[in-house]
Amino acid sequence: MTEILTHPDLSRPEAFTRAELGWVPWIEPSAAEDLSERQVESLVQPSRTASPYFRLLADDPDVVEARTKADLEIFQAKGGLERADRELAAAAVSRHNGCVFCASVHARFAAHYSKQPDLVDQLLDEGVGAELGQRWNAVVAASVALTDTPVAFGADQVTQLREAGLDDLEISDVVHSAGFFNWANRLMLSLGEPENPS
Amino acid sequence: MSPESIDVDLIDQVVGIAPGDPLDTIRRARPVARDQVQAAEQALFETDTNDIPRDQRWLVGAFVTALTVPGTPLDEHRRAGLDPDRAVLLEQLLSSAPDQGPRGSYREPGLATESQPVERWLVPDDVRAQLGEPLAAVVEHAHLLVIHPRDSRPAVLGRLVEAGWTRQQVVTWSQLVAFTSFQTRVVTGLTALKQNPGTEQAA
Repeated sequence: MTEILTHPDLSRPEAFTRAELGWVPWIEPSAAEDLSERQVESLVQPSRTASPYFRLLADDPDVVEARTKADLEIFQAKGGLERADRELAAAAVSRHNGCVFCASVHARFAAHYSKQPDLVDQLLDEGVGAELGQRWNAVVAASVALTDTPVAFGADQVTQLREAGLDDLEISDVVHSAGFFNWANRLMLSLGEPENPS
Repeated sequence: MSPESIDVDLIDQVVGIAPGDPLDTIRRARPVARDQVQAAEQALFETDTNDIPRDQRWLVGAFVTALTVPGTPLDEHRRAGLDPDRAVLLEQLLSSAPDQGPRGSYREPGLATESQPVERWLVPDDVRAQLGEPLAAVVEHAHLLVIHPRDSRPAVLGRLVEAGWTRQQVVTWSQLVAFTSFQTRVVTGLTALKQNPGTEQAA
């Protein structure tokens, strides 16, 4: 039977942070050298074989390949919503679901691309009700409504995003970025946990 | 994948997006994401990878979808994929499963004041007997991931292993629940855009 790893001596984060957290799995994945050619290919970028998270996901190569290719375009495609806003949506979803690891990564990206680290820290410290200005308030509110179960996104959020100046391609980018972290948060939260930088 | 299935896009189908529609143009501005999201749909719902049968995938997918976007065309699509006995079991599951999220208790001590404790939901005994223990354990895991994902702990994952699932199967089940959590949000967002066209679309 598969062994569950509990990491009794792990140095765990106390709260949300922009620090470079690590992530440890609760099930030991395949070693990098034991991955098949197909599994390595499914991770899209060879460097991902160093990550225990991606080595676990390589247990279902067709799914992780689709996941990873979609992820890269949703966050990095040219045109449409600014990268900072896509990362903000990812951070806001992670803040709302409670994924400290995902929030740390995407808060760092949001702070980097926006050059507004103080506002990003407000989101992490105060939560999704933080006052971040009209545009970011709209992106966060939309991300929260999309993350609630049952999903609560509708006409009000579309209107708020339009009033903040977003066109329909940009709103679709918010939807996909926020949607994607409802995928990612559930994997990162349930297959392992964050650890403090060494 | 059969040749005729390549052009079928489930999101277009359930949102009601036709070639040339404003939302079609928007989706095709992200062609890789559009294709790969459909590829994930196929890879999770139209296969038996890691020896998980298609009918079990559809039951869990229908459960997650019904909790997340009840009463929508996507919910109807998932339910339509169930055989009649399973459709009855799904109703029984939904009648007792709490549906408000995201909640749960933080493992981080500094976030304890934000915790919203949730009592673990169990598949009712009569349904459990019909599903069998392995599938009942997956349904319970799916409920936790959908409604209170921050309650994930090693012991929660351990229940899937104790129910007899392998590491590979645990990964596939986790992906199925997580992907469905994405797909339901994209469908909701695109549907809201369709129902609330902007001035640039009306022009």
